[in-house]
Amino acid sequence: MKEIEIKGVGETIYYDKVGDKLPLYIWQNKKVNGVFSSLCVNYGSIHQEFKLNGEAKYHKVPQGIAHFLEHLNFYEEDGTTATDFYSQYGSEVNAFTTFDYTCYYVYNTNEIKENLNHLLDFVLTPNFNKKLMNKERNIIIEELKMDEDMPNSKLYFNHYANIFHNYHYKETITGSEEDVRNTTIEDLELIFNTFYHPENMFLVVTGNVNPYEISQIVDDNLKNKTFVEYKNPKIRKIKEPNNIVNKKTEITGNVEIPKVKISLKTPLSAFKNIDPIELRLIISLILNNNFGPTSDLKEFLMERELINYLNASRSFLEDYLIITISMETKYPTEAIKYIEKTLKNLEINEKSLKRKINSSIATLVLKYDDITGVNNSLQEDILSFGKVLDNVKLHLENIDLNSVNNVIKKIDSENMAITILNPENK
Amino acid sequence: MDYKKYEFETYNIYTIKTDKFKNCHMEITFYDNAKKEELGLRNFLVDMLCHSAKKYPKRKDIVIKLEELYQAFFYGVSSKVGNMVLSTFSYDFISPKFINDKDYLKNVLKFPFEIIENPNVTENAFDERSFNIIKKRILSDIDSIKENPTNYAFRRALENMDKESISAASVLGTKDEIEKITAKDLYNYYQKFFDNSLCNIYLIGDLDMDKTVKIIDTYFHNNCVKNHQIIPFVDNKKRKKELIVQEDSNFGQTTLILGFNLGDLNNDEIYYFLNLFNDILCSGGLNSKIYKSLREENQLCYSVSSICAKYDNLYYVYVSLDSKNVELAIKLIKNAVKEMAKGLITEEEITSSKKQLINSLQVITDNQSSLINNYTFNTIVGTPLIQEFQEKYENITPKNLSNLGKKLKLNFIYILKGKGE
Repeated sequence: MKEIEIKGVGETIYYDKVGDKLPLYIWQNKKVNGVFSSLCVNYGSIHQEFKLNGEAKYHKVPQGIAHFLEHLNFYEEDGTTATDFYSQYGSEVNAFTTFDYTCYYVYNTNEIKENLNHLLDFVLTPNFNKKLMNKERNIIIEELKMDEDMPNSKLYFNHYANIFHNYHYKETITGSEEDVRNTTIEDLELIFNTFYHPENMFLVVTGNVNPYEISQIVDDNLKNKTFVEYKNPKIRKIKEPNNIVNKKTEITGNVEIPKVKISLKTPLSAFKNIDPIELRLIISLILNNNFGPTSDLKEFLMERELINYLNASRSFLEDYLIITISMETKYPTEAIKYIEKTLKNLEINEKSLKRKINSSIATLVLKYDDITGVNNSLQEDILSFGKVLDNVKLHLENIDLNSVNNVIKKIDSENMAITILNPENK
Repeated sequence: MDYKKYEFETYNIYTIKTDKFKNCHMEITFYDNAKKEELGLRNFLVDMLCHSAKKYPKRKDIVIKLEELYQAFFYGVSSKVGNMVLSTFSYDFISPKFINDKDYLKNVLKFPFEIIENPNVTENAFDERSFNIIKKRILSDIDSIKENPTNYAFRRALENMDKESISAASVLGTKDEIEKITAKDLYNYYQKFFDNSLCNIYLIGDLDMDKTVKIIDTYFHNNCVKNHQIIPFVDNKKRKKELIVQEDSNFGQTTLILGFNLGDLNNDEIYYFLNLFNDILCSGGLNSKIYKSLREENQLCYSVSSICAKYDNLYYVYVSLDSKNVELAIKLIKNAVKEMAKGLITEEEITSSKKQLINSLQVITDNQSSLINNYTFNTIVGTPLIQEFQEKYENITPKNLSNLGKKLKLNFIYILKGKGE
């Protein structure tokens, strides 16, 4: 077992590759009662075409299949569900699917061994049949109808359709009703057999645990399972043009006040000489300074009653950096002008940069109060970089005004997509 | 964890000393019996105070100061619980043991009182600029209720149940009320707010509490003695026959809410039995009776939820589904409640729900806000402290639960019909 010291924070993450297959990450906190375990599969809604070792043709599966499988995987051999098992310990079990991965998690305060063993058992043991599939299909359709009633979800996916020509990020994670109806048991089996393999998964355990005991439990569990050779699936690389799809689109939905998203799409190749960890930190500092609660812009727009709400976020999606400004405004035309102007003139001064770096360092320490938060943060590190980020504090301390201005210069502020969600009765 | 009470003439400070967290969490809570006509003003005031102060006129200035205090967080919330209204200023700051500055504790504790006690006021009126920003935001928040089918359905259901009841009033106030408020009105209310509200301060963290409390007492000037009684429960009227209301909406799915009166419950029923009852009936996830019946056996929905509004004397079950399934869902929910009243509860149901609740007690003690929330209700209305729950849960019998079930009376069925099938 390897000990990874989180530099400048005084915390340690334990790492092991159990049975030479499953990466395991552990953070121990002896002061709490809870244990949070998340078993993650590197398979999400965007992975719709892939081929296996030696195959010439790509398999194509329906959109939403990762989510469908997540639902179905809770059923157990004896007609019960994983939820039934965990209820005897009073533990909380659930799962979620994102664009990139599927995560099954358990929160428990006792019987660590039983809880963890069963997480590995139910996730790695399929139990599908047509009857269960048809039953779960109806539940999923109700879930996606619920999502359709949420205006923010409508805006989100319509906006991504204006940014991406080909990437699957523009499609909902649940798939459409038609996709869910068209999914077959063979599709689900293919996905399970291909991707639900320890070599394509990782386990994160945070809370009041002994790291060596956890590693032993996982090792013993995996030794009792037989795995076929990992087929090393290759996801079809999707070519995505650099330009956005539509500059400006207006849609309608069940909102009272218009909601707007404005995004910049910049290929990551533009930042090729910049450390990827530093790039993420710098982009966050820039957005916080220009659109956050300390920005002049936010004060200015609120004072003029041009916005009710303003938020900035960044996503690194395959080969692109997407910077998105979201707002609620009664006057989209005017508000958009100011956002566009600010996006084209991003800035930060020495004093603000120093202050924001110091407050970001404090946040690094404070996050270790919450076992769920640390677990999620580790998942994010592993998905983005394939490793635990042990030197974020040093990266933050390295950032200076020159490095920030160098990043600002490389952001493509012309490649902009705007989506406006107007009230239906407008 | 060491609980301690410090009494002052006009307020109390309640502390929990623990080295479990790196953060410290403080809540300055002003509370009173809810008055419908003042709810909007009160919520407006809390928002206003967190947005602007004499020394920090813009929200931006407040956030810059918080960043300088090593990423502290300061925010205010007004909430209505039964007949009570609680206006809470919450403050998170890093424990002094991580900061190499001997004046840090004094500086960090000074800040929230500086904000609350020195508002941005000119000629007996709040600063017009910040006032207008907050006003627009609240009006927009009121409008936004219509964007979420569940929130909107609850608003309409309670208005239909009894629009005069305090349970039906929104903590945001109404659009008409907010539009009429002037910057002068709000400042007048600010003065009344301190004179009328009871006040406690709650603090959790790895701190020398005696020293910390002395510092707080230096900075907090709460001069008005109050000792009026808080009446937490709302006596919502029961109905001989349930009210059924259906309204149309533009949403795709239909939202269904069943509202029950809880009846006259004793203390054990309110604080312990009701939690177990709710867990077995609906809130315990996929294994609860209603979840199993609606989702697992009939696939009518993705999720079904319940709210135990004990201080409102109400219990709600709500679900989003296709309109064609509404009748069946009502029948199944009613059947599940009847099962509880008849004591048709399996040993497995009761054991697993008890374990779930006991597990959640452990989770609460891992969370600062949850511990403070429990301490707040303990000191204001006598809710038991978290340490007292486990033994009580373990001793609950099916008979206790069926007696409780018999006291539930259906008050209303509200259907917000969607445009779907």
